[in-house]
Amino acid sequence: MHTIKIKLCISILLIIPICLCGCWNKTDLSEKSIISGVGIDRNEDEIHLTLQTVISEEITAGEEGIKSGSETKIKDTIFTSGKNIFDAARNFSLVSGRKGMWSHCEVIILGSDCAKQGIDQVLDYLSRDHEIRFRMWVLVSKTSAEEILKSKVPFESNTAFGISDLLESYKNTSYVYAVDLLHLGQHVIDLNGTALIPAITIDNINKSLKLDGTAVIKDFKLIDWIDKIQTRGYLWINGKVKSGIVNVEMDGVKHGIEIIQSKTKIDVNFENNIPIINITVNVDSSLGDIENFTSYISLDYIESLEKYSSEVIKKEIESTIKKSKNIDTDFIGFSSIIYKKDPKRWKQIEEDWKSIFPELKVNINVNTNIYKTGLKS
Amino acid sequence: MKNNGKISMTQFNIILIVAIPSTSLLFVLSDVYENAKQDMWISLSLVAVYCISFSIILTKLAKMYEKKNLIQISESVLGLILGKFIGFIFLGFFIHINAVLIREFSDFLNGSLYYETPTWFFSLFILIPCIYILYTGIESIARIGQFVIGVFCISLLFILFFSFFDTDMSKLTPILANSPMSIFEGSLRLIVWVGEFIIILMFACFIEKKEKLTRSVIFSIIIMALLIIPISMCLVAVFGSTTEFLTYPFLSLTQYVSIGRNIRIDTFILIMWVSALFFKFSIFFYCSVQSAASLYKVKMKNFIIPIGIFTLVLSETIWDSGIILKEKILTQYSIVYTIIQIGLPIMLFIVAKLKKRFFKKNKERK
Repeated sequence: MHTIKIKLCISILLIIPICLCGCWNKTDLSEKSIISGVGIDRNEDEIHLTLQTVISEEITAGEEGIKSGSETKIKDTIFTSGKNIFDAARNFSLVSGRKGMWSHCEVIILGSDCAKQGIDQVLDYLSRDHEIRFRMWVLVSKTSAEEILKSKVPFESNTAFGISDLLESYKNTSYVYAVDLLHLGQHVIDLNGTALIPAITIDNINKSLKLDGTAVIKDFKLIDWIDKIQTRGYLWINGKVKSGIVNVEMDGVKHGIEIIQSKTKIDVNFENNIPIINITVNVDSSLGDIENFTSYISLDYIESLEKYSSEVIKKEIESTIKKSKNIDTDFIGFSSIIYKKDPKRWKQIEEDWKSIFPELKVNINVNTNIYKTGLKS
Repeated sequence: MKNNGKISMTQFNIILIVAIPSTSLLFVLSDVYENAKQDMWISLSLVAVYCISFSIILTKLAKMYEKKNLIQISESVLGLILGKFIGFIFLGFFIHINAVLIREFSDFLNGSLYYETPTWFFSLFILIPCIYILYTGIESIARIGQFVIGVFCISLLFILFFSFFDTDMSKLTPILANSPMSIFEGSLRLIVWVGEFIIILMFACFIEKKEKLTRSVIFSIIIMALLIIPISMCLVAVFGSTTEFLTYPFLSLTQYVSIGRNIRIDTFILIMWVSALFFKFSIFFYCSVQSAASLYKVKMKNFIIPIGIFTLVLSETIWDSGIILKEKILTQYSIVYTIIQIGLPIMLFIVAKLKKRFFKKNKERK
């Protein structure tokens, strides 16, 4: 009995080292390079990748000393090219001598050329690779993606993380439709290749980056851009507006009204098998800015201001719908709204949807409620 | 604790709860979505109904022959020669399902997390502890179950809790938009899962007090349904229409969850998957060794290592890749398994019933 125990102990001691040294995939941090952002550009049949890497100060400080660490210029953006994205991503090691680690990648920027040629190949690679996560922001740049990743963002040394900050703070203005890889994929599948992706450009005044409107994708290809007002119109319809300023002009005086909370309800009615969509938006807001210092606010004044404000929001929504009809693209997703509300009727009209959509009747009803006037009456 | 070769009813419930749904949780849910779309949870509740009705038959059969396992039951129902023949079919089936499990396990680890590590490495290192457990006997398997269910449920609840913030319940609508047929077809994808309840017959003979066997089996099926239905709803509410394209939807769910900026909870799925599959594999391994032992009427210990090595070799040689394995599970195997797992026990049950009635009449005549 005693000898058996000793034998067992020895065999366990022999097995443990096998587990300790790790698996085949073991890598040291010095063999890997953590990628934070990816820009994809496209020539005729070549993919150009711009990979932004994280250079952790701990690594550089150890090698070159803390003093010089901040001053020595270490290249953190690397350009590679290949026949497809995977090829280009692997060619990263030809330049850097390390293998890229994609699991902490936060943004992916599609150059407008790449988006014009089609985003489906890009989406496939991104959702197939085992290192990439679905929680990754997707953007379309109005210039090439390379230029975007080369430029700087104010409060962040790593451009990709900075861009991710820009998107995460969309709540303050609601002028941006932030979309991650997962939701982009869902949007594309639900609407047969139609999607919206936020657009990014270089802001010449601040010499940094700026989110500017949204790109419209139809049949997996970039076809048009919508501006920030129309983007907010889309967000109103989807009930995703969190905060932001509505600019209202009443009797020649400009007002800034802050959105506190909004709720959207969509109903679908059918009239002779033709759908009519009723959108009701309820907005709670607060008065933040009047271009008149000596103004006195009465109840009547607020009531009429609420009406004007509702009118402005209604116009925002209408402009989005008008744009959507103009370019004949149902990026708002009315088709899936009708399907969700009444799947049986949708099946009947599905074939005629292309002829129904341009003449689709949408009733918009906005109720604004201003219940705060700030510190001044 | 004294080893007396018996397990309690709770331990039996735990064996069912952990061993049966763990693989389908990871693999098959996206195939159910392919058919049933957002009504996946209705499909799964249908599956639970199948499970309950099938396990009632099994428990009745187990009660008829209280101290016998599946192989011995088939021998005493069908006579020696035919019974042995059926027994061999069951043995082959258990070994095959072992090979499938071990391959699924190592394919998952190889295909999603450790790209360079070969599959035999994972298979070997799950096999060694399993062999050790089988040597120690049925009680230690049952007690491991008590430990594993804790790990399994805690990590499951953890993942569900953190993915809850990303759910959008509107993706579950419209309910019943597709034809009822598609929901039914979706439920058929999980028919293998229903058939795995056959392990009731292998373990029922070890239970100490089995008066409430049927009731407790139904109880454990309800627990299973309560685990798997919220998970499926959560999956659809997060992934929506992309669920269909995911190889391992549950893994993708855990990868999507993020707490703060850089905290990821992938570890939990590894803990969950490795512990649950280790347990499941030792259960089915035990079934195959025990059925071999009772076929040849030899002690179990003689068969543990040979069958272990045989399964390892089978799992590495039958399928060239995980894609082939998955395709075969959904097509050929599900038919063959359904016949063996569900068809044969029902046949045994009917023959046993007829025999009983016939003998009763004979006795009355005499």
